[in-house]
Amino acid sequence: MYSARIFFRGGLVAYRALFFWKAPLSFLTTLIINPVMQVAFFLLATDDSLAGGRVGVLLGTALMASSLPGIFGGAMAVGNERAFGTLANVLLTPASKSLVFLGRGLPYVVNGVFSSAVVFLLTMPFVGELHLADFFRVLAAVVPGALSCTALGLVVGSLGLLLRDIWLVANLTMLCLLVLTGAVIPVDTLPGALRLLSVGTPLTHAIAFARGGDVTSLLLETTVAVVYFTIATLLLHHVERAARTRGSLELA
Amino acid sequence: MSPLFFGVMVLLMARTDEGPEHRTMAVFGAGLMGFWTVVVFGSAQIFHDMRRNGTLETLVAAPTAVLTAVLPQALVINLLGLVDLAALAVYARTVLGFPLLWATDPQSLLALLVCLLALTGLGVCLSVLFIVARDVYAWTNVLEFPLWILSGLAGTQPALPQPLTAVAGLLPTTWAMDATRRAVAGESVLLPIGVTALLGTGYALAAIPLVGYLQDSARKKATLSLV
Repeated sequence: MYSARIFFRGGLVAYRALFFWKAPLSFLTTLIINPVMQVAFFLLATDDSLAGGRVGVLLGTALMASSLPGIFGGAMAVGNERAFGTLANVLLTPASKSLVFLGRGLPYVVNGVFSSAVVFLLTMPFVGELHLADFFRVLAAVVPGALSCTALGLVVGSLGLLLRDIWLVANLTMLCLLVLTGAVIPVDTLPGALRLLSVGTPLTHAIAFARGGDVTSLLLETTVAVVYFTIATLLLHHVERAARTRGSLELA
Repeated sequence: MSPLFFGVMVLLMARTDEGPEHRTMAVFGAGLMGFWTVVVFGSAQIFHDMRRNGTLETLVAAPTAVLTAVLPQALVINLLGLVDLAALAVYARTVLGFPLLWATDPQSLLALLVCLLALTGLGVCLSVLFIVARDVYAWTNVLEFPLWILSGLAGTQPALPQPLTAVAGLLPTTWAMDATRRAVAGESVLLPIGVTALLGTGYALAAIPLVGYLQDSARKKATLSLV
């Protein structure tokens, strides 16, 4: 019961306190309108000569909408705690840090699923070849996709405790995701090294599933999420130990 | 970095297109994307950062008109757009082998320069609007893609409804794209460059009362919280 309280209630309270974009205007402009515009932009820039065509671009970019709350939310869940001066309290509590930060990730996963679903529904009419069945496919893909993005966001947040500028890292991560996931440019047309990186990039397998891949893609996406959650937890443990040893959170 | 990434993606997508005109325009459009991003986020930062850093008060209280301090700042910020364009042009030419027909054409370069100046005027106008908005970044986030779309910077000029076509006509980037497209096709660019210059003058003139209003309000109310 105590663990569930930390996980669910703690996560919700942290979401309300630390997420910049929860105000209706910011939520609408940043998490809905901007991704819709991004879909429209890439649809205009592409034609069916690109592998996957316009349908593939729409599916990829609509799924990318889940990365924004995931990456930035995860980063805010840790980074803003330090910015507001409350991180020390969180790290000093006897509660399991893994549970605390996993709980914080949950609202961003829900947020990511919601954003992607709405963006997909709003942009579906841009390409006439999509049906409601595609929506359910996107929905199935976005759950592990949002999970892995949030996990990566928590890694970014943890890195933010070691680096000075967390927002630069978060922005760069977002941009790298756009290139590496194959959301717009098909993965098999990327150079070899980038193709290798894309295997471990959140959303790559979710996008592959949405474009007609099998269940293996979903399992791979979930594996990516687990790996990033593990990295985030290890990083947070390292930060906690270092902070206790040095008596300071200023590790950068 | 952001427009650079988006620009590279547009170029990678244009790679499949065979026409040299289309590919050369893709580079120009991708470069202008950077111009606009710099204008939007730069203009949002001008007053926002000064207010946050506590220097806006000194500036408003000084006898010098705020515009004389803001205009050069906006211009310098916008010059970053040129860096973005140059980086994309080098990438497009050396890595992707795209032709840069506009890079040696004086008319296209003139269109680029006039567009940069016109965007500076627009940037100052936006900076004043941003200072009265509570959540600046909520607005900047939604302003980036619409202009890219309206100005046809993605490489395709979409068929827009009449009101949006009118909005597109008020954007210097639309005319700069048109001028370069014409220059590449060997047509006269006088009209689009003239309109870009006219728009720039209009925005600069509109900035005078807007910035003046901001300065006067801050002095009269003795506060910088104008929201």
